Amino acid sequence: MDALLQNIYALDLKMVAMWIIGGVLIYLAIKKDMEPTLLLPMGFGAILINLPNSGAQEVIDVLFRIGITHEFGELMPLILFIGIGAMIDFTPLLTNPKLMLFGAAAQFGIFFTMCMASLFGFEMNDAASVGIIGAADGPTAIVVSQMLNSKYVGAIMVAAYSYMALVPIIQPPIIKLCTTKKERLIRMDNDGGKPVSKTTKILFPIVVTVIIGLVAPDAVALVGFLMFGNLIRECGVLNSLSETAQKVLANLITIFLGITIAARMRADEFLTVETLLIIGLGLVAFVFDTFAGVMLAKVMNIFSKKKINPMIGAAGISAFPMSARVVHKMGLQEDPQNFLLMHSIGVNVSGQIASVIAGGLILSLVK
Amino acid sequence: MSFNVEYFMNALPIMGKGMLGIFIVTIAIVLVVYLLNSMSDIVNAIANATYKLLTKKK
Repeated sequence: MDALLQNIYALDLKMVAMWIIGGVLIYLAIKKDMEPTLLLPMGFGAILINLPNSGAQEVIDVLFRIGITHEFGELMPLILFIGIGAMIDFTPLLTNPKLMLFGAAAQFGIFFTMCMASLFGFEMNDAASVGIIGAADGPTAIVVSQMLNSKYVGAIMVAAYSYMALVPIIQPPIIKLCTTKKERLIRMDNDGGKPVSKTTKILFPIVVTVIIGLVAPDAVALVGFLMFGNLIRECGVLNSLSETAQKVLANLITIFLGITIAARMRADEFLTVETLLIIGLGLVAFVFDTFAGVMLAKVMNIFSKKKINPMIGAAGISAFPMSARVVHKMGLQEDPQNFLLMHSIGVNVSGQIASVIAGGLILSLVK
Repeated sequence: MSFNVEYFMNALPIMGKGMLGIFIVTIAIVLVVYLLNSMSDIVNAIANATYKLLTKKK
């Protein structure tokens, strides 16, 4: 009997608190449909890892070591990037390349949050890892925080994925606060622009990899895998591989990624003041990403004859495709005839590229 | 956890360099895309001509 009860005696309140957190993540995933592919495995993993003398600890630690740590080259998030690259259609961006500037501006939240985290006493590697929550891109956040050897990867991932799922709640009030009704009513051309040739679509991933690789060598793996996935999609001769990358590969990695992240959700590591602070700072990152994207559009409108609806700047946050949908929906609410989807998708995919550039630059500047 | 102004001051230049870097790289990509869009017909013609030339030799 004693042997049976021994394990129950090893249970402490912190573990129970982690079960509750795990339960909340599972609830949000199932009931609220918030990033279920990751929040559900993370929630279950949080329960699994916080059972007293958990037998799963060893296997999850091995998965973490092989799949996520820098020792093995952050395999899982990078392979996931092939799938993401295969899912992205860059055509709206290639039709109107200047949309990329909004993606660049909307990375401001990363650096602002990094500064704020430093002010709160986080060391530079941890501050930069907290800032990268603003990349609104899970794989980038994992790779950067691992390469910077941050000890807060669990909290960073929970914050990153939760806020990505909360984009439809976080962004609209910020967008409304930064724009006037008149600005939100600005209509943009929907003629589709000049058609993009297949050659351009094929050369784009190669050229982007070379440019980013020359400037930020630490980002080569990130951008390279993303663009490799896109090249598979666009080349036109690897449709079966493209389909596999988009579905089977991405799903397989996602299953393991969520539960593996739970390795860093042990009660003693996770239930700290720093975790609360990281979750608060993550929100700051998303708010300032949105703010900066909108503000750049407003500044461009001062100099441009052809006005841009500043709401599309907010889609520069990388959370794809939620952010683009939020902007499109807000446009329709203001004016049922104003279709911003094409433009906001273009800005949104540019945010994906810009977040990788930001990750690479952070690595180059902080490492 | 306490306020650390020194860390904050060290982070500011990284923010400046980071944002500047992002815009420089982005502008470079934008320019290349404009170039690709306008040159794609020429690139295609060159590729086709090279392919024809190579297959002819064989």
